[in-house]
Amino acid sequence: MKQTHTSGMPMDPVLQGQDLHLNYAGVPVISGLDIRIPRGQLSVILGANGCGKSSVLKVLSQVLPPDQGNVLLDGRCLAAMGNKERARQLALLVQKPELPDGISVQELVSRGRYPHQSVWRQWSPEDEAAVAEALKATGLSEMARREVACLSGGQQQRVWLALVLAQQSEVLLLDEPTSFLDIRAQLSVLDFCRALRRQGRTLVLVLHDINQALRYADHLLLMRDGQLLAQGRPDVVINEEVLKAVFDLDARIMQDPEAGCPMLIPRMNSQTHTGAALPAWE
Amino acid sequence: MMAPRFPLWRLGTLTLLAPNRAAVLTAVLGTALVMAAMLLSVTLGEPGLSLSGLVQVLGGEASPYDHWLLWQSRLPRALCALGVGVALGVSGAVFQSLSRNPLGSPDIIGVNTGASAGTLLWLMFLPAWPMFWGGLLGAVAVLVLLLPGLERSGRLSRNLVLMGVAINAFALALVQFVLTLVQREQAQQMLGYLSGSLAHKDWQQVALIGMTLAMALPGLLLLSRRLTLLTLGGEMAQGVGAGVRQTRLVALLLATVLALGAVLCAGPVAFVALVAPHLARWGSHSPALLRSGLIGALLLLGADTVTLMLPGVHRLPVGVLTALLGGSYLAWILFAGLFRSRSQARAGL
Repeated sequence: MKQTHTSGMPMDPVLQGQDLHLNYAGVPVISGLDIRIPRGQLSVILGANGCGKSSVLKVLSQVLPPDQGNVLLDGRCLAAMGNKERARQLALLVQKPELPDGISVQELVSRGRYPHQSVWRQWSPEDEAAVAEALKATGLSEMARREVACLSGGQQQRVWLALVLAQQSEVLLLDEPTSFLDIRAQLSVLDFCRALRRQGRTLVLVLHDINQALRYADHLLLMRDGQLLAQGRPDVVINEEVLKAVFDLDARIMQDPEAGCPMLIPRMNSQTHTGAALPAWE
Repeated sequence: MMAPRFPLWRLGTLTLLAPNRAAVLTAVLGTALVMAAMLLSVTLGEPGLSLSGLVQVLGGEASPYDHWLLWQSRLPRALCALGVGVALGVSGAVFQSLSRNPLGSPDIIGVNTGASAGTLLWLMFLPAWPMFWGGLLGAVAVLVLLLPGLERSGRLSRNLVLMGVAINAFALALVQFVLTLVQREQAQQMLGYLSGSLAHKDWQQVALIGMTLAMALPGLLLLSRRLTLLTLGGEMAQGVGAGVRQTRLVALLLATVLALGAVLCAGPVAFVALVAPHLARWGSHSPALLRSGLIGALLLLGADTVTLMLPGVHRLPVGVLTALLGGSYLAWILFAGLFRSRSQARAGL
């Protein structure tokens, strides 16, 4: 039952995956995925745990080369591009980056400049300006010399965002940038992403909160079992059947009284137990 | 606009990071310390060549014996200690940074043992040929066995170190196999080699370790920026364009060359490759290759000078001393860490 709803205008894809396949230790994670990321929009990938969302971002950024299939960036094959050339056009923030011991905000953000540097051009005024701009945009200028490990979770996430921002790429792929953050920090990250989109950049986010996705996304990509089930504008693509198909979720869809976009509320499930015995975990 | 953090050396489009004050200080201090250690290593200990003797030799008015002592015995020995120390320090820093594990140094994960096992097997079965080839084969075999640990999975570190420990045990078994088969005198010789010794070094061995360094060091220094990026984790490093797979592969190869050169020159000297990077990383979040090499050289020069000065124990192999020192250092670190975590637990942290 492969039903790919596509809706809306003809799309100008900046990033495109064709017939992508990926296996982890023989288990297929992505099988025959075709995906197109519209230019200059904020796309959000939604799906249940283990449906291959993060893997899609890794394959699209060539961090994990696909077992089969091509990724095209502006029509050019990504696999044939040099690492630095790719990184100048496409940035990835993974879910759990590793924090080097004792590193300061400024030093960590500076590492995003690597693709613009070489042995003969180790640090240029442009690098300096890009780092300063990234720090300013993320509100970290005052903390530039602080140690990253001493900052709060929300501030640390801003440091990582500043790192990929300093890369000055047109496309940014962010894997669950709001996880482990409190609600205010989550919204500030999402507002920041929206501001980047207004500057003309293309963003692809993996999110878990469906209502946040509906509010912030220009383009939704709904995944299940390594396949794309539906994609398009949130208000067009989202309905109760799709939610059921993607998340196995019974939910009502209503209008978000604040933003006017759709939002969902899970239904009281008939299987919800009130008895003493624990229900069987599905 | 913030003032630039990094002073730059610019020449047209060429912009190099000017070394900051700390780097200059490290370089000057390091060179001075190494020179001093070389001087001590040449002049101290038995058979003696005092400072005045050294001056006489350099002035060309010393006895032929003193002349021989400096040019054919003490200087090659000190230079070997310097080269082997640098090779072990840098190799250890690269291995530890690749395995993201402070225990992942070539002497723990089997590279050194593999090279020495290859050397001994070669000595036993093909004694007519240079033993260089045996060491090379041993090191290459270990490298081939380690390579699957570099696959694309994120679990590089644990695999690499665990596999290395297994390989090390296997190579050690081979070494013991050879030792039980050969004549007692040959076994005695081999044991001396196996503990790591700088005795009886000549210019041929200086050339060997010098060529090893010339082959492997420039490449590793060029890779050091990428190795630094790898501390963000493989995926982020790939994301900013570091070419993770190639970096790991080439760095592993060159670090193995360094370890091999050190083993061929002085035998598997223990713990220098493990301890030097620890000391070098103090207050730094990069692999600190050069600093680690410098500290390795100082450690080995110092330890070797001490073995020359020890009264009573004649010709103690330097590897025994580095193992004693390194083992104590490691134990101290572990106990300090244990104590810290226990006191933190008590404080409810």
